[in-house]
Amino acid sequence: MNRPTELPGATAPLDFSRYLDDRPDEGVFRVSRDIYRDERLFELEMKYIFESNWVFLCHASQIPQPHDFYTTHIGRQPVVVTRNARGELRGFLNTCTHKGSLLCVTQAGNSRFHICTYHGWTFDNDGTCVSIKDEAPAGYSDAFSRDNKNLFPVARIAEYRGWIFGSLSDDVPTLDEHLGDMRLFIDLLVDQAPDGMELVPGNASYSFPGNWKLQIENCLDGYHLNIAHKGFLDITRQRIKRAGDAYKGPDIEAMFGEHLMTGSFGFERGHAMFFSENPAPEFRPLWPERERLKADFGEARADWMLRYGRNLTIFPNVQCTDNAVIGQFRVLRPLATDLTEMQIYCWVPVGESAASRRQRLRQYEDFFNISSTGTPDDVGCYRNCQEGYAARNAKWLHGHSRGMTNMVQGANEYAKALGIHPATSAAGPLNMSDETLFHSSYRAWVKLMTAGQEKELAAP
Amino acid sequence: MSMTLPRCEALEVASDLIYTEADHLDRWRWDEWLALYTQDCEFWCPSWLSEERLADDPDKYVSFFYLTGRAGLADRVYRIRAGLTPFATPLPRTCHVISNLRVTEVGEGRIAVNSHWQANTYHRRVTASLFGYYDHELVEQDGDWKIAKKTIVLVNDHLDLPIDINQV
Repeated sequence: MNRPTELPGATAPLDFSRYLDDRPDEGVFRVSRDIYRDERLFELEMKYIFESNWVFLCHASQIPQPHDFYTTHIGRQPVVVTRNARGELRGFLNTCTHKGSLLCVTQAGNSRFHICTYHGWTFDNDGTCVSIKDEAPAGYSDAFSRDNKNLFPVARIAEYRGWIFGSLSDDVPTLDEHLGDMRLFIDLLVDQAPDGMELVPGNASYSFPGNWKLQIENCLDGYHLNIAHKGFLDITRQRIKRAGDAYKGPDIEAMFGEHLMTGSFGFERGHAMFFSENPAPEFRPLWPERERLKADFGEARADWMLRYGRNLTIFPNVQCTDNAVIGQFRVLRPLATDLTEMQIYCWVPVGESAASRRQRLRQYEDFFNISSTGTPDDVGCYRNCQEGYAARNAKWLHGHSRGMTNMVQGANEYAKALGIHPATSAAGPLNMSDETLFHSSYRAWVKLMTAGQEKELAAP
Repeated sequence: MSMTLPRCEALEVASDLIYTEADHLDRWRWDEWLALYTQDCEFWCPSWLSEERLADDPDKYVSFFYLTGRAGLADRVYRIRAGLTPFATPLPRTCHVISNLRVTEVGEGRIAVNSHWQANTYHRRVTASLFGYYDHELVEQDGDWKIAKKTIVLVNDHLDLPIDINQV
């Protein structure tokens, strides 16, 4: 563990803007290494970002039925997401109101009632305390009887097209406002499947010894591909060679052609997305459905589904990729400055053919799983970064400047064509490997941290 | 012409092959390790669907590994040996301990064997210990016994380090 040494005393308010050197007019955007290594900042991130903001909780396919429940965390706090008898979503802190025991102890399940394993207090899926064992002879006072013994609700819980989010604070915009134009990119994923999308069962969870923002960035970082993942690319080329005439996939060299068009958008609430032109969309499993997609969603949207690979980060804790045959879903949970837990999923159309499911699973296992030939190398790089941050005499990074002259504030032509309003837009060839798409996330970080601190200092 | 071995001989064949496999992996004898497998082998490590339920179909559920054919294993070996993985640089040291070995079935030219394993990894001062059970299906080919199928149940599946084929 890295121990911070340079922060002021515990009571002094922090000027969070000093962790960014953000001078757009001079072409400067630098991020301080302190935000990845400072334990006090980590505590404040948990309070002001994760526990005061919308965070992703689970996908609707994980709790489809009334009385289903799924356990997760908001920041450091255990929560349980339930569906009540009417199938409505509810969220609670996962702690019994009697002695505080964790109430739901499995990852997921279906139960009309949740009975505490300690003294048997019982709650329904609306969080109502329906039974206190031996209440009548207990000698409880009137004051106790008047007290609310129901589960502590998650202040806000809402769903957008199967993506379920919650907030521990009531003082947040609506989920639609929070997601903003990212809804379009969720639509481009969800609309591909007439019967919706689902997460393939099968736990794949792991921890990595690095700060959570390393994961936030890496999902949208095109620059590391042919260095960190050289092993994966070599294997892919060897397989194609081995298959000879039997190979029926796209030209691998064309897939990484330097002339391919790429771009990115950053959004005010910290979300960002990266896209890159796919020169061989006819190899995507979705290709045979292009006429249906054009008819249902218009040519422009069908084109975006088919002709561009897209990686999304919905700040601060969920990411989705749709850039090969498969989609991948990642949910991150920060545990410490230098420790992050990941839950990852293969994300697929409901009711697809067995052959298509098999192909997606094999590709997912090949690149995305923690036992694959891709993700382990990302994790290795996160670890190396975190160990490198111990060099405390080094303050600033040079990791957020690529694409600076390709980036515009507001919408570029791509954004205008889509009718969206990003905070920044960039476009350029594949080997531009834009890094400006991260600017919005760090600006949102400063804004949320500053607002959280102000609110806390103003509280009586 | 294959024949059905007496159970005690089958146990000797099986334990020799399975212990040899572990030794090859731990001593980084990759070519020798690959040569223990049939050309059309299957290497499967399923995921857990819940705390108490293991996935039973690699075409329906996610697996940690579902590699088919010796070439699929060779891809992994290529990557490890070429030093092309930032995660496994320098190469992690491993030590497999295998026990509770039981021959569960003996047929004509084939042996099914079950064992329990612990795979310890030591990497950059971090120690990780994974454990579970193996099911090996061994077949006799031209007088040699080879691994036709290896199924690995990984009991402690929340991983603190990424894994490759030599760490389970």
